[in-house]
Amino acid sequence: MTAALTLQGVSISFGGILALDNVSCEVPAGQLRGIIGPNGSGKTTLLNVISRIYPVSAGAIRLFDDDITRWPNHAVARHGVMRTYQRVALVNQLTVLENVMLGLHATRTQPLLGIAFRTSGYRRLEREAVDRSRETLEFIGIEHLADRKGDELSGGQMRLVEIARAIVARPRVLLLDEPAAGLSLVRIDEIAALVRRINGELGVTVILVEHVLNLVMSLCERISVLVSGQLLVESGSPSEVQEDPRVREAYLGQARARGHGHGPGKGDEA
Amino acid sequence: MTLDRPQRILRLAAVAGLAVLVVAPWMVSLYKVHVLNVLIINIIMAISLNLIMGYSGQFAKANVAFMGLGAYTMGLLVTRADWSFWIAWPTGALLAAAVGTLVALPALRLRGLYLAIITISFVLIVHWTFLHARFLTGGASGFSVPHPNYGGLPIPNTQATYYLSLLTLLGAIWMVRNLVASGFGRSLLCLAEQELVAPALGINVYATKIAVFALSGLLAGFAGGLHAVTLQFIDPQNFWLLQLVIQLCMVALGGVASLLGSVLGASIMTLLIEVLRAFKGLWEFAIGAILLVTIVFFPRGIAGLIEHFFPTLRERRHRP
Ligand SMILES: Nc1ncnc2c1ncn2[C@@H]1O[C@H](COP(=O)(O)OP(=O)(O)OP(=O)(O)O)[C@@H](O)[C@H]1O
Ligand SMILES: [Mg+2]
Repeated sequence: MTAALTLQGVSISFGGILALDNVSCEVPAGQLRGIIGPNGSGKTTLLNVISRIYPVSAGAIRLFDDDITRWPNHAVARHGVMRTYQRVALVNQLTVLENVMLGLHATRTQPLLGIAFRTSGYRRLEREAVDRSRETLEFIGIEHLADRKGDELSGGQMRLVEIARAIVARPRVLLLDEPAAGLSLVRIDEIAALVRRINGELGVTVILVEHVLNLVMSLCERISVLVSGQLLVESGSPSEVQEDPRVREAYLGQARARGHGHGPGKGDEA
Repeated sequence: MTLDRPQRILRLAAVAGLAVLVVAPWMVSLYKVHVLNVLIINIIMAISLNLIMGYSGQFAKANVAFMGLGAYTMGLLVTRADWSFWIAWPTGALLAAAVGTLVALPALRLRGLYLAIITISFVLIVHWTFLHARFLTGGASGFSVPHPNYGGLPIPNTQATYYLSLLTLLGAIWMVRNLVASGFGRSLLCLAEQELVAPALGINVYATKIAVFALSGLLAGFAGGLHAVTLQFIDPQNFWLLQLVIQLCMVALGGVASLLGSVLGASIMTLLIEVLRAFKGLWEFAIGAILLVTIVFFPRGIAGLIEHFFPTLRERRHRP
């Protein structure tokens, strides 16, 4: 089976703090991979490293057959890595539809002269962009929001729009950073169903970072556990992870430190 | 597409405004034609500045220097090298665009206050050069520029230059309207609001910034050449910090990221300065007061107010 994403000994430090410490793992194409870990364990940093927002201090990252370790940020997106953010990052001056259209930058360079003179070729491109974006909104079931502004949405709707923006260009790898954070149980179920369809129907390799452990356990075939920047479990089945005493210890240790408990297999993040 | 009532009224107002501008040179005094010509040039400058400050959210304030480069290049080529205005003018604009791409380089790394300081320093340096390269520029006393050669055009030069400015403005509005309602325009807004997200969407931030600085420089360069032939004189004081503040005021008053805002802001400011000119020292005060009130009470300017009350007049970000 081909690997969609391969990390080899990836490390990154911020002012002496090792946020990722020699992380190696492989995600096969088509997999729905979960990444869990206590707060501050480096999950978001891992996604930032993959989408090349941060340069790595050491190690290598491969996307299918390409070594993307030193590629510019936008080139990685154009080669099919799209993502969402822990803190939703929509453009509020744009409507929902226009925000989704932004995701299509990953598939094309903007023809500036064509745009300036409004050539028929450019207008066709723009019509296609509108159609594809509408289709994506329909796929997710939020086409009725198309003309709303980014800041007129509920938190859950914003997350769905962000997912729409990330999949409109049909990425090869989708990185989701806590898509269920702060949502009600009903909404979490909707997100779960959506992620499953993106992975199943669209065939997108998904890497799901999530604190809502029920969601990860029920969705993902394989789970990686990150603790203090190190991969405690490179790739385990949900039951293996749930029963691993080291994982329990990592979560319980954090819970003890914070004075309340939530561990693998039982808790939801508030 | 069917238009609703506010849209029809806006369209009507635009047509009426254009009609007034077209017939005005034959109805009013030559001095007023001159004022209207300056107003038109100010609108081009406000659009040029709005592209960078409003749409792209970059705190770069070098546009008045781009304008000066366009004016001086055109003027020197015409007076010293005997070039035709029709070649010298676009050459000046292209040079301003090229310098714009150079100014974009610090904007690739710096943001906010630092970018503002660097670009204001650039304005100071360019102004200093105009002042001190006396053998070329005539220093503080400036130099005269002849009318462009309008060939057999059967109207006086003042009116001809006025119509040239008007045509340039219409071309600029058409083109910028196309650009801001496109993937390019949307990526500018993304830069302004979510600069870190833009590259993760596949937007080449470097190329986008360089393109918008070049475009803004080009518009300012054309405006500079027009300004020189409108005044028939090039004076370094016209490309100084005071003009920069006036242009910032036009953008802020009219509204960021809005073409309609740039048109209204520049028009109101130009007329206001003209009216207050009679009262010595008053208009500087008025500008300060307007800037203050706008930023505190109407951060999105007049265009923001219009959009608030008539949401369908929101500037379009896609027009398939
Ligand atoms: N840009 C940065 N500069 C300095 N330190 C950083 C930066 N980004 C992350 N860190 C540090 O790296 C560590 C990992 O942070 P990260 O955000 O990846 O954790 P996380 O697993 O996503 O946590 P959470 O569950 O709270 O989202 C933390 O100690 C954090 O303070
Ligand atoms: Mg995180």
